[in-house]
Amino acid sequence: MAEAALIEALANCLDAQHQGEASLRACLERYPEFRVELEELLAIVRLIPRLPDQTAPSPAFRERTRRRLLGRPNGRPSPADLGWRTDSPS
Amino acid sequence: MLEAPALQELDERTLVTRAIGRDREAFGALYDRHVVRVYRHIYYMVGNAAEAEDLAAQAFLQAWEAIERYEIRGAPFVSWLLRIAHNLGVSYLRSRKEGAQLPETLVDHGSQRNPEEAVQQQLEGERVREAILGLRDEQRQVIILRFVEDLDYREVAEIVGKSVAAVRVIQHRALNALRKQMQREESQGVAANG
Repeated sequence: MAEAALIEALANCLDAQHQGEASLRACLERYPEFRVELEELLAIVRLIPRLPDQTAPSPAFRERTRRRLLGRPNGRPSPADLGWRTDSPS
Repeated sequence: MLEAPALQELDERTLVTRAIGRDREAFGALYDRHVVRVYRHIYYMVGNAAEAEDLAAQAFLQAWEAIERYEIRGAPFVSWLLRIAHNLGVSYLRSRKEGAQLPETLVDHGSQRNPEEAVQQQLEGERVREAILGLRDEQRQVIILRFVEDLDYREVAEIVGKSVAAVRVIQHRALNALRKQMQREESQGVAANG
């Protein structure tokens, strides 16, 4: 039961954190019994490194891989066919 | 056989069923649908675009080779793909022996006041990222989708094949696991320095 209440409080305060400092403060004040735990969990979330939205494979890679992966009517392409390195990464 | 544009309009389950039947065009449509997510997951692990592309391509090749073993009633297809991608990333990192460096593009410089803070934030970010990569499959996927990809609960639930309520539970347990891991490391660091 306590875990369910904490899960809900965490979800609400994560939303509040997204909205800004004032919303987060207000949310934490709503859950004094969980405040210490919530602050620690929210601090972890703030430390998680993000990927920029535009991080994506190059169009050339996407096209090359698609073409080579699907290009053969039968059989399976080898890594060498796909132009991948077969040596171990160093 | 259907033309590619029509294939793109088919639902995921139909595409997967066709791909299991060795329909390459259907698998191509699945590739188009998920290649960016798979690439981003691996890039987050290895921190290098060229290696991430190489590993993403390998992930799709492995998926094509193993697709008969995919259980259509089990985890969603994208979740299965992400598991293959993650295993390849782990093997790659082990073969390199040392963990990947956090790429510069993953560092948020907005909140830093000085170079020391920037270095500290980079180090903490690397610790958290490594701890995330050590989580159980389900927990890791939820944390990356929620906080790296910035998806809402409904989107995450769809990808991992759980209810929104279940995703919230997994999120809480995963963050708790990360917190304990970070605290353990801190106490070991204090003991080592003391």
